[in-house]
Amino acid sequence: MATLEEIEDLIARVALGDRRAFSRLYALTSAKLMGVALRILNSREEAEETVQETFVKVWRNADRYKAGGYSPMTWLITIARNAAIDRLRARRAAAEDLTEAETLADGTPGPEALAVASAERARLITCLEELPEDRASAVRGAYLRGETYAELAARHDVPLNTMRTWLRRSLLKLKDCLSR
Amino acid sequence: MSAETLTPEEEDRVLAAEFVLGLLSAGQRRAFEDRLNRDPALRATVAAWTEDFTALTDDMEEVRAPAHVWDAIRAEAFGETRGRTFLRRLSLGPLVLGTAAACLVAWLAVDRGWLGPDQGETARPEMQAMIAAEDETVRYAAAYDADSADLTVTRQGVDAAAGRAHELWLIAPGGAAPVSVLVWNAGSAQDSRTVTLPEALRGALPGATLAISDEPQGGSPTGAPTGAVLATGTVVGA
Repeated sequence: MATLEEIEDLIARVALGDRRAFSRLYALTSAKLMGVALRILNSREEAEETVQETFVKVWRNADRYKAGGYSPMTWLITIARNAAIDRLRARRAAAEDLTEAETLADGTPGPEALAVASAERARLITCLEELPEDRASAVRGAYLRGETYAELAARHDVPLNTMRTWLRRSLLKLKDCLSR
Repeated sequence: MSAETLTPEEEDRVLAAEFVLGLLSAGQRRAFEDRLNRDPALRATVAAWTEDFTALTDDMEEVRAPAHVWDAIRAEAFGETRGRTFLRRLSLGPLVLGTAAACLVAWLAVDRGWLGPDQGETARPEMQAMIAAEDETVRYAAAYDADSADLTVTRQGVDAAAGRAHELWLIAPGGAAPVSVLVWNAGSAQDSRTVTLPEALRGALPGATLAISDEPQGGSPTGAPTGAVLATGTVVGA
């Protein structure tokens, strides 16, 4: 299992144009990014394209990693997540319907997943659990499905402004909990 | 908007979360990104939210990507399909089979431009090229700063063979004649060199090819490449 230091070191070498380091970084991290993209997009082909897009970005922008203040896996996963969400939104814009979003699993982990979760994850999950169920689900919908305020409002059947007020308040609560 | 009033700190905390989740409108996002570029504390808030939300991916199983994905990445990242045909067109003398590969490094805003914001005052070079042999033995990195017209080239690979030299050539797009830029004699200690490009060459840089050829000590006696082309790269960016 690669350490975070090793991944960080690989990103630093990729920033210098080191192809061997790039290849090793891909070997170590691509399966995780593929898993994330697949979970968000529910399509193998699109997940593969997302992984490709992500690593090309990493190759070209590794020099910007240090400035962001992220842990290395967070940086990589975030690039992949954003690329996947962009695709998902484009797909929804093309289909112009929300039915698909509603049929996707919510991604709420069962007790089993919680047992193996990292401390970090447990913290977020614990804090999400302090929110009313529908607010926590809205946060997940935004992160994992890229749902907009309009889509969240439609799904929860409340006016858009109500949804925004709810969620903003929930995000503050979440931050308070995470900072404890 | 909500009737509640938030303190500026609370407002920023919420905005940063909405930004990370992708809930801001295009206009809000642009305004927020402008602030991000100027405000390290706000960047730290965004980074903290990003770390926290990424935990939502912790339970996602790893899935091996098929081999063709890596092939596609290599082709796109290293521009591997470009160098060779290009060199044949240039007829830069005998080409050592399989050594030249163009490799591109472009400045693109990452994603939404915020993953690793620009480094404030330290100007980033506007254009870059990686001049590398297929097997990575011969390797030079070039960066160009348009403001000063300085081209900085750093040797990252092997030295020239004993008694020989590596010479760097600039070939303007459209297959112009190669122009000599720098020479590294075998055994020269100075790995990194900066040269101010003459006016005539500055405009030729975007999309130009940089090539390293094997030459006699002191560089080509003819003003054109005489030996094998060891590595090439394409200038990208700007």
